[in-house]
Amino acid sequence: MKHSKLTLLKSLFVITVTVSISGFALTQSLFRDTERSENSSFVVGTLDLSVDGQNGTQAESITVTNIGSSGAQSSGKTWVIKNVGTLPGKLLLYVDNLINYENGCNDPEQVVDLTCDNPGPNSGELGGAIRATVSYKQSGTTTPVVSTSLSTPNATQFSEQWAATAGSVVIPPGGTIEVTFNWSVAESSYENEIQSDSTAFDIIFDLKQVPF
Amino acid sequence: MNTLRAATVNLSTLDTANNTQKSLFMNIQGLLPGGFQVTSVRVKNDGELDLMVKLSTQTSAGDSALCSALQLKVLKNWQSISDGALENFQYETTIAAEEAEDLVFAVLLNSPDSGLITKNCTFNFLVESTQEAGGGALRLHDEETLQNQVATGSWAQ
Repeated sequence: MKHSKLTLLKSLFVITVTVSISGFALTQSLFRDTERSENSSFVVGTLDLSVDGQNGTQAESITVTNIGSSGAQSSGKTWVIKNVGTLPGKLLLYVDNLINYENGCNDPEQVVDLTCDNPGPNSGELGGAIRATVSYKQSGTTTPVVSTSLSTPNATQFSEQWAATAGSVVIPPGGTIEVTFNWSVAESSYENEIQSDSTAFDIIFDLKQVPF
Repeated sequence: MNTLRAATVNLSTLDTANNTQKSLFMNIQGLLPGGFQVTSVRVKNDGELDLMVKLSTQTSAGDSALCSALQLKVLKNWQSISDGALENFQYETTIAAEEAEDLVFAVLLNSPDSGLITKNCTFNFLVESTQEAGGGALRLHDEETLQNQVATGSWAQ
């Protein structure tokens, strides 16, 4: 009889717990809410630059056709480099496609020049007579960076000297930096061997993301 | 692409009849007192720069007395631009790029001096770029040479 009472109590306890659990689950179901967030996205920063002339004018390339005349033996150009992205970037500069053309020889040049191919890529002597310098201006301070000739083997000097002197220059988002390229030809640096020679090259600006 | 290019300086001396190159200019044989020879040259600026061009005489060999006795007249547009001793000839002119200037030269012997009989004088007319027109000195340059030879004959003393 005593055993029957104990069994009955156990049964009541199980039923009570079961009802309680069911009641809890039912309560939880009544107050649950679900929200869906649609069109979510992870935003990635951008790294982008623009190259303009001074005061925001259109960037122009350098074109000179009268080296060797008694005037206009030096000139230059300034570009405004702007970081139009949303991430800070390290500015790199290098010269690519530097080619010195011979463009044949006229009579005076033939006397002193044995390489007279036309166009004669990298046979021309003009680049060796041109001194090129690059500087940058940031926060009102101008810093000379590159000084070399435009002879073809010296093409790597631009990136190497830039990396050595200006390799840590960072342009913040929306920030600008002015880069000036100057060239000059000293009277003593050439004679008839440069007649009709030409030097062609690209100046490349590259913005590299600064590691976090 | 950025491009820097050198200009050109190039002179040529041409035959005024047919524009062929001319380097042998005068060859006078048996010149007598009162005798002369006339020839012409077209000095052309074949380069890209306007140039100052200088013409002058350079005596290279021969009898110095004969070379000193020879006279030279030079005409441009049929107007005299030089008249005097051959050895003292100097003339400077401006020739624009791709333009030319025609000159007429007359070499003559006025002196009947017997010491000039059967003598020779070899000389050149130098045509050289000196500077850019209106500018300073030029490192690019060109020079042409017109070669001349005069031999006198014999005459009664």
